[in-house]
Amino acid sequence: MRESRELNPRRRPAAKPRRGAASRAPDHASLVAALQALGEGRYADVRLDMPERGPGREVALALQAAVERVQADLAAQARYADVVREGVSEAIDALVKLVVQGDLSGDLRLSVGDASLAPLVSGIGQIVHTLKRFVTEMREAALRLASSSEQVLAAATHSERSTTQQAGAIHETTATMEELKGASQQIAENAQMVATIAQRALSQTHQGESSIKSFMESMEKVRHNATEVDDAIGKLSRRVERIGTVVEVIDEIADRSDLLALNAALEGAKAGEAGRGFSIVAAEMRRLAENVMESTKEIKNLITEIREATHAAKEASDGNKRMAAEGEQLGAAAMGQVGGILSGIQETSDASRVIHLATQQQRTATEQVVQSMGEIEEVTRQAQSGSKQATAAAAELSKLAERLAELVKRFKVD
Amino acid sequence: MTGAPPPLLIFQVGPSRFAADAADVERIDPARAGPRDLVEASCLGAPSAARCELVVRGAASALAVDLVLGIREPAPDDLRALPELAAACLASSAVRGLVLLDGTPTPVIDLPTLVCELRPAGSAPEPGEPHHA
Repeated sequence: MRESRELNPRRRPAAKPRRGAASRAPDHASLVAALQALGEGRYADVRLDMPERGPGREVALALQAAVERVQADLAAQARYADVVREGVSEAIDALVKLVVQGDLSGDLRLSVGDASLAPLVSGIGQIVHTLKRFVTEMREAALRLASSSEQVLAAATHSERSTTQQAGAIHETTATMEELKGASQQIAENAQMVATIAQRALSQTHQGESSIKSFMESMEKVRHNATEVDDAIGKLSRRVERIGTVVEVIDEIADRSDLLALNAALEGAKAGEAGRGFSIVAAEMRRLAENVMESTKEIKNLITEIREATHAAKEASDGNKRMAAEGEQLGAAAMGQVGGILSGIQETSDASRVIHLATQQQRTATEQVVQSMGEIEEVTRQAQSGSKQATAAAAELSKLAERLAELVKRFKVD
Repeated sequence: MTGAPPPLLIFQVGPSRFAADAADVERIDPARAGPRDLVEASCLGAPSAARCELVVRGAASALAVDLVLGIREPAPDDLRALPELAAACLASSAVRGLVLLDGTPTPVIDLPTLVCELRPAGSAPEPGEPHHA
């Protein structure tokens, strides 16, 4: 365009003939230079001497005419370009104004009359139409976005609250499970202790059972011994009775000896001095008889004591037999009760072992649950953090949606 | 009483001890030695056990006693006459005096008189037996 302005023949006349060259034909070099300048668009440099006559003149005229034609066409193109530029500027200005003002409600009316700008005008109209449609859709989308972001915000807030509550519940659950784990541990230890005590009681009860068996055997021996003692006492009693009989005989003999001695002494006394030696012998005999009687009296006393002792021993033996029999009965009853106790302790021991095993499994399961709850708590904490971030993002999104809606509202499409 | 005192047979009836001239006792029998007149109760009392019987010389009777304690030969000073008041108060004349045995006065009994006093009324006393109302 700038070149076309420079080639404007009205401003810069081309191929003006140089002074002194009219009388002769343009030389070949100047012609070539002029044509090169023409070819290169340097119309102002097209200098050709105009001969006054001859074929050189025709060439120069033709060349001049061509230059002028070209310059004229350039000028026309320049004008046309101006018109187009103005139309384009107008269209762009109108478009910019429309966009800046945000009023897309009306139709774009341009005064551009050039037909070549019709596609531009049509394109701008399509742009406006497209913008209007975009704005309309963006408005609707912004409204939906605002609504959705509000819903998302509400949902995120609810989710955050729920997540917080869930985290609290999980924390409490974890603490409870920790307590449960501790309780399980305590129960397991107590069950173990009960099992140990039950085992010890079982062992002791077995010992007690053996002791009762020994006791019953001892009772049987006592009863047997008491029977033997009873028999021995019976024999002793019979022997004592026999001894008593013998002593009675001895006593009677002594008594008669005493009587005989008395009679002898009596006869000795009657005999006077002659019977004195006889009286001495009689007195000695009588003393012996009295000693015998005294001894038999002591023996009788001893027999009486032996009888009493034998009777007491017999009663004691009978008592021992009764006690032994009662002891055997009691031992049998105790044996039965110990059997029941053994059964109960065995069941207690088995049950405590089962409890111990179950509580150990429970403790293991509880530890796993605690571990899982810890992981869940960590995940929940992360979810809580994510929920907070989501809430913040939703809040930010809601603000952005409001901002977008406000921005879109600036565009008037109806 | 004069001269050396005779030997005395000491016997017991019930709780009381008595003395008698040994010459008046024919023998000493055990209780229930044979059928004869047995004096079980007298002015001396009743024996509790009656373990012996004193066969009185010449009387064919026996006196049941609990115990014969022996024969003593008292000193003359141990013999005492029965006080007159006591003799007057006694219903039986068989008690002839007292003898001190270990310091304890013991009645001296005339056994033939005693069994004679206890003989049923109407039966004639044997010769030489003392008589009492």
